[in-house]
Amino acid sequence: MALDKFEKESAAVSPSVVPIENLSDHQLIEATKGGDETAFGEIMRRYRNPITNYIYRFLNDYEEAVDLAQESFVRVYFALERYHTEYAFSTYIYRIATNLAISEIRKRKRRKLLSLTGLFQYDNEEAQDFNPPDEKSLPDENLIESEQSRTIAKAIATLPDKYRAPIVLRDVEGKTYEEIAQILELGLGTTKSRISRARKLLREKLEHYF
Amino acid sequence: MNCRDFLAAFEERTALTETARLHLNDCPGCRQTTVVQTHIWEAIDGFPQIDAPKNFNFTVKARIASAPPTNLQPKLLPVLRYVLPFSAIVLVLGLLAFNTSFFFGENSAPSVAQVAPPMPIAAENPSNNFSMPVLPVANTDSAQSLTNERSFVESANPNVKPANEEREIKYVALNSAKKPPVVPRRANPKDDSIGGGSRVIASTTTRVLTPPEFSPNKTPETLLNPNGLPPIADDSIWSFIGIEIVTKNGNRTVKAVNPNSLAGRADVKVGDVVDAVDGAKLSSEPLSKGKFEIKSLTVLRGTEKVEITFQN
Repeated sequence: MALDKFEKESAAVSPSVVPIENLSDHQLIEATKGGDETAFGEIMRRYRNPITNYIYRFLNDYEEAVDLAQESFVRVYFALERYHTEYAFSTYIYRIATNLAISEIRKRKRRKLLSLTGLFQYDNEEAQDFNPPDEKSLPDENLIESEQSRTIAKAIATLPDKYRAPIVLRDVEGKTYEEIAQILELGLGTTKSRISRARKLLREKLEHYF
Repeated sequence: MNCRDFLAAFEERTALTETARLHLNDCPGCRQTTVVQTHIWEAIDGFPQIDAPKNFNFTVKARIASAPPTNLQPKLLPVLRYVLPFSAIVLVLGLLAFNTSFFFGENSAPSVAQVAPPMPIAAENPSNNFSMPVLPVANTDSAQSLTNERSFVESANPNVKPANEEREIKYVALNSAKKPPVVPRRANPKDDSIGGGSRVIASTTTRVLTPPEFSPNKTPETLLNPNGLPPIADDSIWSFIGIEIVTKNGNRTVKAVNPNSLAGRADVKVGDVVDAVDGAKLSSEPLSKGKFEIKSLTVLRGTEKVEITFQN
């Protein structure tokens, strides 16, 4: 009798209960819109590491990367009503992260820190932005990079914005050209051209290193 | 394969074709490029994965919870999304309607034809007895537009005598119009109007079509010949009927004919030698007539003499 009851209950529940890990991004978004906080937690679990890694490679600054990755999720949460499912969710969140990272770079450029750079600068020196490298040790052991990797990461971080995003998305994140074009809202030809140009610039910077 | 094509193929990170391999063997520049790029890719592939901190989700939720209320944004944005385009469309339509009524409505702004003073017609001045025949208009649309233009001018100036009734338009010399005397400011110190006489001139100047012989600065007496008729020059008469005359050895030969003129419609041809006008044989003296009106021409066409009558 008790076994029958258990079988009935499991038969009633099992078709409708799908593990949250098996839900698609769009289903999780719909669930989040319905007020399911767990669904949004699952979205964060899926994308927090890729987004943090992407922004870190973009900015070469771990603390800032974590902060901007969190900000990306906050923005996604508040913009869920405006999210349309014609694009993949990954494209959507990468686009937000890219825009935030580019804004951060521009903010840094605006922060001239005149008192630091202007007072000790000679007239014949070219003006440079105050952009101190992040010398702090990274919080995890697997973040310890080789000297070569650090050099290349720094070289990537010195590329112009419009070349930095495509090359990080292509060579670091391994996105397809089509995905990159959607994330950056560019044409396919422009995307390929920028990736090629970014690689060329990177080769020129690192030519003497190898 | 050139270097550009090779690099494009190489950057796809797929297996090189045989042609690309041959180019790579032959081109030291591309070899160097591939070496550097391969090192870069190897280093990038060896980048460690950077993970988010363990308190990532907690911090995000805390930031969401502490975010300022954004009730305004979700409610206002959909409204603005529809209201703004609608307002823009209404504005554009309103401007279009205003412009249409302004330019084409009954109370529209005056057109150039209305602003320009109508051509005086000259029943007002019987002393000028030269007249211009009204050209027959073959095109119906042109005739209609001409009629409209006349009625338009007549409506603009009720003193003008309707031209359709007389079937001719007479020119009036400008000096026949009663122009108020222009008094220079110095000559009239009591005149306290600003700008002296220039304002008077500006307010009384009218645009009147006159024959070429008439000058606004001439008095009627200087225009009239001893017969009391204004002299009209030879060239003016020919151009009026639509031909160009070249004089050779005392003969007036037709050099060109305007096909849309009296002469063109009456089949005057280039090369015709004008022998007589209205039956009066021409001499070597310049032709002078009191009227523009010409009823017939006698021309020598080759060996024969042809009488051409103009149809008004």
